[in-house]
Amino acid sequence: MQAAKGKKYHGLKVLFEKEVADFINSKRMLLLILFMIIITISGLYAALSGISDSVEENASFIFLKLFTVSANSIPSYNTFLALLGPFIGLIMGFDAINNERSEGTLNRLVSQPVYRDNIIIGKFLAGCFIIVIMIFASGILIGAVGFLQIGIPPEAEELGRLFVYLCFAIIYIAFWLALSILFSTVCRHAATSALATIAVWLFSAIFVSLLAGIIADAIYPLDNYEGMFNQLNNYNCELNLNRLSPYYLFSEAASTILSPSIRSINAVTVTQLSGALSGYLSLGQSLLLVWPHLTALCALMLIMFAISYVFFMRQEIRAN
Amino acid sequence: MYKKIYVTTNLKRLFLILGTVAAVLFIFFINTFSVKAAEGLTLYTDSSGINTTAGESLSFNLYVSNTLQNESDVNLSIESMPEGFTGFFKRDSYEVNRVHASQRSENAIASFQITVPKETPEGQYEIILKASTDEGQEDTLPITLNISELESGESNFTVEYPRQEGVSGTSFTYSTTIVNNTLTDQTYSFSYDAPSGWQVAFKSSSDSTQVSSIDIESGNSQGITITVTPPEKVEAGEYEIKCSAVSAKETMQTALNVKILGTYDLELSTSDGRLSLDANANKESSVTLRLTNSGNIDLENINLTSNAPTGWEVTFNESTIDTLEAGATKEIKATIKPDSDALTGDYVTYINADTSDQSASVQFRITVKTQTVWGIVAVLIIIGVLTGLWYITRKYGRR
Repeated sequence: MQAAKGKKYHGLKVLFEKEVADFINSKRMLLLILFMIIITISGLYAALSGISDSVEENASFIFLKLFTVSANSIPSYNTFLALLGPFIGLIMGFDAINNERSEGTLNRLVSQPVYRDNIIIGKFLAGCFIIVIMIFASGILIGAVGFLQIGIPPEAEELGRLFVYLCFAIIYIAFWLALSILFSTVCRHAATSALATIAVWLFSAIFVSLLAGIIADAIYPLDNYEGMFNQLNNYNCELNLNRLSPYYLFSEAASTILSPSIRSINAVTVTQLSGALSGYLSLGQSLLLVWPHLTALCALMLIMFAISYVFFMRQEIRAN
Repeated sequence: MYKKIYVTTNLKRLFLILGTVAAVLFIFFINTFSVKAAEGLTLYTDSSGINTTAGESLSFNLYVSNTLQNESDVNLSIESMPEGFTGFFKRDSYEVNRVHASQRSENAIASFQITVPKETPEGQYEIILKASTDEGQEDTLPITLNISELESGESNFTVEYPRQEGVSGTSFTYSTTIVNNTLTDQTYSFSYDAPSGWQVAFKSSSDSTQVSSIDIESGNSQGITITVTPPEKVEAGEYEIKCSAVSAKETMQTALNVKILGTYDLELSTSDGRLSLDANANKESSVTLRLTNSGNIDLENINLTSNAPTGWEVTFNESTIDTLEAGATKEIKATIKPDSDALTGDYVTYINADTSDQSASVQFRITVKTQTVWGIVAVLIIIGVLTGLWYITRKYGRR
């Protein structure tokens, strides 16, 4: 039993190392690094040019502002990551299975003395590993360069929030990795799976918010007198529909984590604001606010992976 | 005024008598070639019998008539004088014992100044002055002083405003004056009789030094400032402080009256002084309030009210307190229940204690926290998903 277990993990380890090595040696990696550098530099540029204005308004949690401040129509690092982060997962996963299959290497892989599921698990874990390295490298880089520029050392609370934020980003991108692996398992051609993933990405980033507005207006019209009473319902409906999109889910969670002054992610009524003092939440309280988001993102990622796993295990692998 | 007139009439009468005597003597001299005149030197004064009181200083002019020589120097001396009396001859501004006298002159050759001691008993005293010339002529002048004894007065200890009022926490200042009417210098030492906790300080009115006794010369007066400081927690009412100045001979008392007016003061705080607390939405949190009557009057009918955000409930285990005695403290438990929709973060809630006279308010910063239960539920969901994944691995994994 012990030997079998050891062997199982040994096989996984070998596959994991092979996948990581393959990826790092590929040209795709260069593309990915270039992509990350662009995100990092533009995010940093936006933060450093906009931070002095932002500090004039409110001088607390300056370190976190490096990730949220935008300037001169250049979006912040946070916005960039939410919008373009899916691409990282997509690039790594869109041809994970069907490329091996079309090149005929899958047959050879399966004939090795490794469990078949280790192949897909190894690919997913290798992708996650690369994501962790990328995200932490870019996040720490921004923190370091920002610290050099603004000269104010971050507090422990800010570092904690940054760490939580980067973990969120990793889970978010890992979800897109799992999704693209799923499409690469389902679709025979790499192009199809890539297009499918891009379609989902475009849908969740752009069309969900449009559709949510349309549907909410249809259910709770804002015209006439009726509209006055529907306002809250309309807003809540639109919000909940938006939250179906992982993009929106991550954006909301990220801005809550990075802005301690956000006290609620839902619609706030005047009643709730009576007697409220403007203050900051602790990291724990902010985390509790977006805990459902974390749960949903984790669950989505795991479910996507589970589905692709099931598909992969049930597939016939033939030489063609 | 009366006395002056009296003295004047007296003097007139004296002059009249003297005039008569002089006239008689003159007739006598004319008729008989007087023997007395042969002696030559006469010392006389305007008034040789004087009524006065002890302690006075007198001065009277002396005249000399010399029938023998036109001019001569005259020695002046005191033949006899009662013990304790002091006296000397004076001309212009000098003390003298020898003066020049001319026959023609009707001016005073000198004046004699005498000081009667204060302790001199009543009675008749005689001073004999003597004038002599080098040629051996001499004359004596007896002066009779009818001295009445000086009344030894009593010292005075008076207060300018003996009745003062004020709220607790103020100190009261009384201006007093001690007058030494006795015949000797006195040392007055001060003492007071005040309720316990009261402080009384004696100071010279010209100096800020606190004194316990003071020297006052006979006949002088001295201002004394007495500062009375009541204890901090003094009850409203009237108080009397007896101050005494005691000298060797006398004991003088004066009463200072203080009326302490009532003050209302109500303090509201918590038992541990903290004005912030954590609460969960729709769950009760309690805080122990501490209500202190720091005035000096009992407070009645204290109502506790709250000013909380909409939808919040604040209850007190005792919302009305009938009586809170002066200086007393009462603990009240307040239960605060945030609205079920309350946002995570800080809210402000005021709790007020009101009476008809006074009110106190305390401001609480209440931090509403999300309950961790939901976090645990979410973790359970993730664990469920992971378990499902593990199950799938088991089911399909080993092929």
